[in-house]
This record gives sequence, structure tokens and C-alpha cells, in this order.
Amino acid sequence: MTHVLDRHAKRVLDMLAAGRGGNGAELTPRALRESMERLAKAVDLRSVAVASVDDRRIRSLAGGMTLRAYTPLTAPNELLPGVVFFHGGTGVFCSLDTHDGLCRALAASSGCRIVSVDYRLAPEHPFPAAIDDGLFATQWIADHAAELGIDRERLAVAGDSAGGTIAAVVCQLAQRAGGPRVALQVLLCPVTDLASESPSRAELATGFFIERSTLEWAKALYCAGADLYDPRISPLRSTDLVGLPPAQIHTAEFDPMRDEGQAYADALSAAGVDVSYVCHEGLIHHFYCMAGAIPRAREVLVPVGAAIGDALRAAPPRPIVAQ
Amino acid sequence: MQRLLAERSIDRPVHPDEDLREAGLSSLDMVTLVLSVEAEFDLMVPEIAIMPANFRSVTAISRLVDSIQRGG
Repeated sequence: MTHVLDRHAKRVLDMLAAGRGGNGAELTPRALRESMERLAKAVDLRSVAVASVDDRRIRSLAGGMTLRAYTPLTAPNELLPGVVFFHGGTGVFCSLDTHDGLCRALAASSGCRIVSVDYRLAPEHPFPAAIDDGLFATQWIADHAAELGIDRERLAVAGDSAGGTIAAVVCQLAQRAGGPRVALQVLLCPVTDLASESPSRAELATGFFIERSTLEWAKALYCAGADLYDPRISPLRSTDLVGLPPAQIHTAEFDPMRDEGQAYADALSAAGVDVSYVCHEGLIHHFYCMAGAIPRAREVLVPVGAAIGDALRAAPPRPIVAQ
Repeated sequence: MQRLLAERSIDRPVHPDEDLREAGLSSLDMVTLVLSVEAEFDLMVPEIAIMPANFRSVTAISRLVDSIQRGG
């Protein structure tokens, strides 16, 4: 560990600090959602080229759900490995649009089709709506893989932050239910434990992009009184991790969620799951969506995506072991 | 500057000297605003200048942009 903030990440934190202290900005889901949409326009990776981006509306548990499919420039017409992607945002904010740049970058660097899922958000739809949608979308994409140009045997689930929670939980639930078959899980700065406060959450509670007060506010809206030890809220609390898909877990050195990401990597590893774990030095939470402001994020996403593509192309068919 | 604010940060007219944070600009909006100012005027705000006083109001930001443009 360098213990030195990337200088561009530090600039972002300085800008956040310069904007703190006002009394006019009330913390509401709508205000935060709008702020994140505007921020995304200023900091994301819009310039990354892909062959196509297609929105598709499917019938879902709640009536309808949008899936956004990214096709990489390489071999756009072939059957490719696929990645079901869940954006982060505490389960309360962010959208397909705020994570558009990240999905483009991952499609380009992995050579896989990325399908981003517009799951339902709290407080309108608290837990377990997001998890239900995540599992439904994964099953739907697996069932319609050929139609989407995806090799069903080479399907990953991925997500960042609270989307990483969904990805991790989908793997646990799918394993238990005997499907859908997931070949790989990719977790970027995942939230894995809302039941306790890790050392990094305490140490980096203020001034590191996402404040403890914001996390607590969002947690209350998302969980809405549910048991925080429920493994569908805190996947780290699951006592049954054996047989889960191979995992690629990324954390950032100056991220409050760093320790729980590492703890999940350790727990999976102890359960015999094949895990690769990287803590990205000097970086902050959400760095992967701010490549327009943090150039190193763009560099980091190249090997992150390449590792996804490599793992999926090498994936042997996974037997389904119902528990 | 008013246009940047309207597009990127606050969706109502703001007086040039009004405190933007009191007008509803969140800290996330401040990041968006600083990056937008940098992109719009093709400049980089020096680290030392990223402080609340320089971004308190439209007037303050205009003054900062002028001073960076003169310096560069």
C-alpha cells in the first residue's frame, strides 16, 4: 500500500469538500439521483467506442424492466461471453445512465457483451425488490442468451458497490436454487456487510467520497427495517459459501467499503472458491465511474475487463450442485 | 456561468452573489460544477485554489476563472 491518494482522486475529494457546509441542499432521493446523473455527465467515459448500445424492455416481476446491452467492437456478430451488470448507488440512486461509461469500458476491455440491469430502487421499492429483480434479470438473460448473442455457459454477474451486493447475492441464491448457472462473479468495491462497521468504514467515514451519514441514510431507506444479518442484505454473513462461482474482487485503498470487500474475498477463498483479489492503491469509491476526472481509473479498467474476458473464455462448464 | 449552473447544477436562476450552497448546490454538484468550469474554459483549477471561497458564488467563480486565465 502506498497510503497516498491518487492526485486526481484527491482533486475530486477537494471539490466535494469545497461544496460541503451548505444548508440549502436537502438530502432526498430525488436530489441525490439528480446530482449523480449530472456528475456522471461530467466525469464518465462517454468516448469509449462500442459496436452498439441497445435498450430493451422486458416483462418483469413489477411489470417491466429495462436491460441495456453493450456489444463490443470485436466480433459483434458472434456468440460472446456475457456479463449481467448491476450498477451501484446504495440501492437508492444511480441508473443505467450513471454507469453507462463503466459498461462501455468493460465491454471494450473484456470483449464480452455487457447487459446492464435497471433494477428497482428504494425507497419506492425497498429490499428485497432489487434482489428479486437481480435474480429475475439473471435468469431471463440466461434463458434468452442465444437471442442476445451470449454463450449461456459463459455468463458472469458483476456489479459495483450496492450492485456488487446484488451480484454476490444472485450467486448465492442461484447456487442454492440450482440455477441460473453463473460462471464468474465480478465485484467492484462491493458492499458485503451492513450488519457491522468495518475498520475502513470507521477510518474513512468522512471525506472519502461517500459519507457515513449518507450511507446510514440510504441503508435505512433500502433495508426498511429488514434484518441486517440477512445474507441477501449482507452476503458476508452467509454461512454457506461453498461451491460459489469463481470471484474477481476489486477494492480501492481509500474506500470505506475496502475491508468488507477483502473480507468477502477471504471468506470465499476459505470456502474453497477460486478468488482473485486486488486492492487498487490510491483510489476511492466510485473511481471506476469517474474516469473522466481520474485518468488512472481508465487505465485500471483495462486489466479489470481483460481478466473478465479471459476467465469467461477459459471457463469450463460448471456443474450445477443443488444444495 | 449561469448557463453552466443551469445545465449542471441548479435549475433556477441564481443571483451572481448568492451563496451557491445555500441555493441548494450539494457537494456532489460542486464536483460537477468545478469539472464543468474546467472543461468549458479549458483550464485546470490549481489544487490550492479548490476551496469554498473560490466557488461560493457565480461572482467568485468568474473571478477565479479570470485570474487563472490571466496567470496561464
